[in-house]
Amino acid sequence: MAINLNNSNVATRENRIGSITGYIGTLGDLAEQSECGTLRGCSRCFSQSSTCLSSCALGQLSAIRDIAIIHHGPAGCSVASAGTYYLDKVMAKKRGVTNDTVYVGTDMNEKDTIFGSAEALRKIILEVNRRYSPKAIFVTSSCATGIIGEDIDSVVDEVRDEIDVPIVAVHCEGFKSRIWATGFDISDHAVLSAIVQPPKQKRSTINFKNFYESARPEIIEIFKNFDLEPIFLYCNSTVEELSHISESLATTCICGTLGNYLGNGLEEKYGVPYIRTINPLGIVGFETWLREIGKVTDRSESVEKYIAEQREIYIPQIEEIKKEIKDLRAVLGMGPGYTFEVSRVLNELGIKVVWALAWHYDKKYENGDVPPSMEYLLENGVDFEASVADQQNYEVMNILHKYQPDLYLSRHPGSTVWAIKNGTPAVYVADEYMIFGYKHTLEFAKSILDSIHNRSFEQNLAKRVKLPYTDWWYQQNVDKFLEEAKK
Amino acid sequence: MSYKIAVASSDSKNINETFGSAKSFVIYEVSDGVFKKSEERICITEEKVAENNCNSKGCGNSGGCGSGCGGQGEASSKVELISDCRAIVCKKIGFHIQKQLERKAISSFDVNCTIEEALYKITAYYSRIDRHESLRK
Amino acid sequence: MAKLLDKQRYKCALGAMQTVQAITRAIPVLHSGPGCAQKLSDSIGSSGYFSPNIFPCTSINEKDVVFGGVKKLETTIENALKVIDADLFVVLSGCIPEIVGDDTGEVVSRFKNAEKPVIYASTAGFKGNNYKGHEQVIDAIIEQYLEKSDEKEQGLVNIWADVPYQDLFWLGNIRELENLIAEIGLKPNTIFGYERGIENIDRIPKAQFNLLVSPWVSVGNMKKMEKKLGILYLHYPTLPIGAFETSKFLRAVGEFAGIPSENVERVITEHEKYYYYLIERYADMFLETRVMAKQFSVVADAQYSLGITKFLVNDLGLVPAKQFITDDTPKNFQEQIRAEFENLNYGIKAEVEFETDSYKIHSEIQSHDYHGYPLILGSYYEKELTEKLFGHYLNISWPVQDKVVLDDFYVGYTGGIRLIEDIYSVAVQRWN
Repeated sequence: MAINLNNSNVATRENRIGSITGYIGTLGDLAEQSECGTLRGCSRCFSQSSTCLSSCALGQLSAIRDIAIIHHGPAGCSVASAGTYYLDKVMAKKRGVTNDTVYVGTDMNEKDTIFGSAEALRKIILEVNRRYSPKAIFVTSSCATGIIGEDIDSVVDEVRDEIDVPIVAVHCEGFKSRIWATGFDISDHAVLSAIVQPPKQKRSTINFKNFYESARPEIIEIFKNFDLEPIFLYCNSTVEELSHISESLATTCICGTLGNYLGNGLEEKYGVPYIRTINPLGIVGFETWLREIGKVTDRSESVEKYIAEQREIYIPQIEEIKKEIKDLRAVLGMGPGYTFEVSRVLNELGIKVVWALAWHYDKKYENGDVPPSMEYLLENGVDFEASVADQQNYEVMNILHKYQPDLYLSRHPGSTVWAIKNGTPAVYVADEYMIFGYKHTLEFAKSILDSIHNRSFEQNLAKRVKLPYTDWWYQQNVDKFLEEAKK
Repeated sequence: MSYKIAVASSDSKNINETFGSAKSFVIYEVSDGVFKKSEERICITEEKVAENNCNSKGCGNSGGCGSGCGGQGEASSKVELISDCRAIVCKKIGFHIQKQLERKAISSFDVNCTIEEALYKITAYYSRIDRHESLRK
Repeated sequence: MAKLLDKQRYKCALGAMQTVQAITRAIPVLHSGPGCAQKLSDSIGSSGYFSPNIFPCTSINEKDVVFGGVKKLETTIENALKVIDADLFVVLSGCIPEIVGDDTGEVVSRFKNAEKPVIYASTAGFKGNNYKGHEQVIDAIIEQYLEKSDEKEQGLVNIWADVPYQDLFWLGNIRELENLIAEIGLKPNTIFGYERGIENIDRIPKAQFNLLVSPWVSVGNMKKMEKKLGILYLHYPTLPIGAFETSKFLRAVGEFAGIPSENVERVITEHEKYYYYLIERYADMFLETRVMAKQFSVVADAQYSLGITKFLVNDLGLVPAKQFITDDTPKNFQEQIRAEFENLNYGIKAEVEFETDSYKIHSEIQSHDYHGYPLILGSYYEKELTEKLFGHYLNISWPVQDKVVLDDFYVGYTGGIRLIEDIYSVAVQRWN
């Protein structure tokens, strides 16, 4: 089985599931080859910057309340602490709680890279514990510590006796993998191995893994219909709360990429079923997901009743909007957890997807099955060109330039800007709940309509700005820089 | 700590075979950072789906997969052959195979040099990683 | 020595990529992991013609670590030259290649005759913070691109101030310094920001002198230019904010440049007239806002700590409590900076502490008696603390979350007025 909780160094995503970056073909090919395990990805001889996996890992962990993260590395690695400080404070304020989580760095310098700094790290851990009395401590490595052979595990083991709270080493040596979503697995692994305790009882709760819980009150209300209480992870979670997630009836998540390590881990170790369906985005997604929850938690009757009620309210409204946005052509750029899901929803709304760029692609999930979103698309005959672009901007630009879609949808910061400069309206699918359930699917459809209607901002800008690529580049094929050409 | 490294070579001197074209793998055993040739493993089954046949248009089978490309969850027999190795070194490696290898936590290095040079570098790297030593030049 | 960086105020040396980005049509090429660029960019104007998603990067992986990443770096640079439309390519090497020994300089030298200039800087994260990285990029331009010029342009002054993107107000500040210098009859030349790029870099060797407005950052660059390009420099350590300091600044520059003093005085008089007209209209606000006490603390880099302290003391008549400098100032500059803090009107001396550990800074602020509501100008980390102390809080140093600044500035006469507006906008939220 793919999950080994005794080893602190998670086999990177590329190792574990067979993820790929750098593939071009149709969605059908991607899926078919995923089915028979013969997918090909490609390396590149020109790449642009994308994301650091520690951003995902520590972004998740730092949202937990009243813990400490010690990021051992040069000052650049712990720069994220500024952003997380802000996020922690505003998200806690929104929920009406306090969050005293600290994220510190160690300002590693040249001398440390020559002589090592294990002793200094040990002292820093003890000082952070003394100052802030956190409920758990996560000690993270970095590329620099990895490359100089710093043994974070030993330091943590040695200091464990002097600390009363769980302390765990988190490995973020970036050069060991290129696919950034590994970060989520790293944080899940840390939580599973050090925080989650064996269940003492079973509760009517459902673990809900998400990013920023913007739909929390809404979801709590929805689940009240099924006599279920959602426990949101990790934003604003407490260590105490997380220690009990083995007692829930099921685990689900808003995004497959985000949740599959934790979901499978809890299932494997504590028998907590993991809801593996397409994401609750769009109508079919929401209903499939709810029905699976109903099935697993033995509440199918109340789920069906809820679905029937909601359909009556929302379906007519969604059908109305569909008339105005159907036949639009869209290009997508997001992580795999979202690209294929959103493609599905756009298909439901009558929008044609001409190209989908998943930043990377999980060939199979932990248990060997093909990701549900892929399965759905294949079964329903939805096909389009797809590439796995690892957030490579020049590929996105080339595709937009060639296909001139009506709309570009993306989830990664900084990327929508480039579509707009190309004159393409862009929708930043920022919030993970933007397309959640009937209500948000309707809102999503409306915001697409609004984006198409008022083109002022991007038209004004596009007329006046120059794109940073040479003409020569635009004339090449998008797979120019992939070492194995598409046949 | 000892481990094995598989090499795709036809002349036992250079890394001159791709994973797909290799008819055998030379296995080197590494102990205390020193590598020595231990055996040669012949690839038993011919891969029906070599890199040049398995193209982006699909395997030619729409509903299910027949001949030898592994199927869901199964690795190709060549990958199974070296499943006890820590790494494989060859000239070029088809990425579908690379992913199968990675699922077994086998690192792959696609390089073009002598076996001596490649193994020297890889074992030096692993030695240092395993002993938590710096990779500083 | 690794130290506890509690609520950090700076980035690593690779943050120098932002210095490159600030030069119009210059692009950094990173020899580093795939995530450094995104991590080191804030959303404070770092989109633009080039945004971090555009930066070419070798995205180092395990194979590059074992077998070296030199070949990948070469193809990345080669292809960047083909694909990206830029005027200057600055290769920056990060932590990994510098430890495993990739010779970035050697690879870059292969592009000596490329269509566009390619230079490099050794900016591994562990080499220092982004203030150092900024200096290294300028050094690289001096050492690898610029040549001495026999032709000098009379009145041309290169202005060096501010670290782009590290300071939220960098764009506006540099523009305003240019305006002030132009007013006293000189020709300003800068290389950061709107339409200032390779052409301005090419003009550097022709300048009459370099003007450095900074407590310590770029002093090394000035010395280098003096040596290689034969350009003298005037080092003015205080960022001029408000009338008192700006007038002093203009006189100092005018004298160094040989401008007739009556020209300088004319400009000063004109500005001061308007400045004090505004101050006079609001004099009652200054004296009668009951929540405004006298004591303040600034928690920022040397530039703002010094500049704002002088402004608040010498212009507005406030009294300095302890000031904090958080940029990890090199030890050899600390003495002279301390001396500047002790050089205030009426023999007032401000106590300054060079500290990077925010826990200690916060403890000091909490234990000090401000005789009223403390005025704290600092980074976002100071917000919660100031609220606890019922103080007035203004977010002026990195990280900034509380305001959006496109081209606003604090430099000069106008900048001083802006700062007054910002401070008092906070104070008037309360009655008592």
